[in-house]
Amino acid sequence: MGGSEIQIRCKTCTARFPVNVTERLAQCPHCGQGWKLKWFGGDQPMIIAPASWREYQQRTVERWG
Amino acid sequence: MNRIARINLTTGEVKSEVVAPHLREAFLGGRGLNIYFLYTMTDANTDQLGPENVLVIGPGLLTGTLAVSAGRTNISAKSPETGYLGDGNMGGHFGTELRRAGFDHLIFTGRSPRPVYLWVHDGDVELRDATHLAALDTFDTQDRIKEELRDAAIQIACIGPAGRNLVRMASVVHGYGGDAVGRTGMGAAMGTKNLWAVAARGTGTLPVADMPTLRDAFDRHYRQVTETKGFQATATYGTLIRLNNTRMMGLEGGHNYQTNMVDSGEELDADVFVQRYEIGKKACFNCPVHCKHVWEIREGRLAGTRGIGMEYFGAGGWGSQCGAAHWETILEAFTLCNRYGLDVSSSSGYTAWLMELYQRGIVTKEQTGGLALEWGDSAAVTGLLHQMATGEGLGKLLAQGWQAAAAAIGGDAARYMQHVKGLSMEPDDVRGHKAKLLGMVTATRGADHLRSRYTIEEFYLPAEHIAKVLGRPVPPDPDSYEGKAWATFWTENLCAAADALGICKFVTKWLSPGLLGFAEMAESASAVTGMSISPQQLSESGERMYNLERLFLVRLGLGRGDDRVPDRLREPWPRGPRRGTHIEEEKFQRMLGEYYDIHGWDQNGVPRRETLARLGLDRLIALPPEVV
Repeated sequence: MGGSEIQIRCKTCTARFPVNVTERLAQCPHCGQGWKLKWFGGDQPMIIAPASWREYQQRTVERWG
Repeated sequence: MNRIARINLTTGEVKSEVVAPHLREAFLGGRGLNIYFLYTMTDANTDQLGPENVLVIGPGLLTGTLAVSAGRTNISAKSPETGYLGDGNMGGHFGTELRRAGFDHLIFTGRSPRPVYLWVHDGDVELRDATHLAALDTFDTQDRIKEELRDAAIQIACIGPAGRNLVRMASVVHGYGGDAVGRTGMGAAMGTKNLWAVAARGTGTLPVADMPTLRDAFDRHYRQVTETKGFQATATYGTLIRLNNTRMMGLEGGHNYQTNMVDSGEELDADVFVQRYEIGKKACFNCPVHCKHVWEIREGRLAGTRGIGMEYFGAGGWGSQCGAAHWETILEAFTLCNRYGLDVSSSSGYTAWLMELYQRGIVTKEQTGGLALEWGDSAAVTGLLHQMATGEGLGKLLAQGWQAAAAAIGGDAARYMQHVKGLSMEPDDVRGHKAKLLGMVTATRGADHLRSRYTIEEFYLPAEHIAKVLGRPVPPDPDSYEGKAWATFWTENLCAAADALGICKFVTKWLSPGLLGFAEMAESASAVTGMSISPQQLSESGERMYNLERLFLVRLGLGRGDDRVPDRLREPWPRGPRRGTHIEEEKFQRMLGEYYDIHGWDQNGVPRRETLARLGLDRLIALPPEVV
């Protein structure tokens, strides 16, 4: 990656934030949502699910009804 | 190769002919030639359940060759489900085998006086008695035919009880769970012709004009595809990647679109499925994606049940739309659909609709044969599938399509079915993505993501990045209406071209911008055919097909009023991070008008004569009187 930062886009607030290679969980610094990551090809991260669906749904209800 | 077989099922007569070069050039193959034959051999008065309907089976122009993921086949007819355009596309190995057996297209007319199946083998075409298949489901039908013909390598497309009973949303099934032509009722189109299966086996070699160039293209395209993240995600999760995405992004059509987020807990998750049930993967012909799960239920009532495939539409359709968020119910329903030969999408859509009618007291237990259609009830889900396939309980009504069922049920029943052009909506809620919405409501076969869904809209890519792919900048905001008409037009052409070539959309820019586009597909098509096909010409071929499909609808009296947003989708999203997102009618209508302008259609959505002349269609078909 030439030393450049790897970023992903939060599925909730759509802001981008950096993640460390091989990290399996990450938390969006903008909205606080935790995500489960899957790494493809060693350095291509993808958000695959919330860290916990129940917590995600609970947060969603609290924030947006 | 390059031959068509015309099979008159009424008389049993079979004629074989070569595909005319000018038609090959104009429509390529697959979906392209299918719509040409369908348009020219039917008219506005054709009864979709009558012997005058025409059924066309057509593998793509590259199907069975070395081109990456070129293994697909289209089946087309006037739709028994909607009364409009019927068409569907399946993978597997059937198309490859049919071409190796010597035929690129099969055109069925008339109605056989007795049940038959067609046996195509190394240049021969033979109608055989099928009455002994009357009690079999689709899996057993295939096994029986292979036994009878003593060849396990035979590839078969067949119908099951649903198709034989003329259930309007019956599918055509190939293989044992992973491949089917589901939408628009092509199974009923076969059933009404008393054509219960087509079996193919061939040992021929498909001609390739320039093998070194095709091999070189394959190497490059293979690397291009397999290095993308989209490929790797699909190779891991198949279409179930969509399940997690829709749940995370609040695009989850739930309880017949009454919500866009369902509380399904940890269960309804792609990783849960893979870890708990997956025992392998299966691929279509020459496809590196191998997206089909091979699965086994290891514990409980269904322990020992195995299957192939498990797609998002089953998980979203029964899991979110019907609230049955438990994998074993979903797997059981998926298997029942495949064995009965029922479309997964319509079956789950009808079930969600009926559950809402039950919720509102419009349908009662007396009408359902005793089934309590409560949200999430497994017995209700599987019970309705049995009824749909066999005609018991509500099944007799549902077999005639949701419109007939709604009329018989009465009250507000029809109002709660969410559909476009008579085809029930898919579980993916599109109201927050305006290009996806436009693609869904204008799709030529009704509510559909495979005609023109601009998937890239979900990636928030910068407009200048998009411009490199689409040729024009399109804003990344999914809720913006700007540029979305162009994005939809571009995607339509890409999808049509891929279908005509027989290439799976999962390896194209339909799924992700790093995958194959017009340039790569044109390169393979040129190498195979020896014709010089430019990316622009390929795009124009797609446009030509789309215009002909649109004319098919225009001839049936459809226009702008049929490119309408289903009622429920006009309401704001009730939940999630984008709660309140809605469709602004004025902006939507302006986008629709722009979409017609880009096409060269009038503001009623009718292609203009000069547009059809530019595409050469005025020389190829008789234009309907609506065209001025």
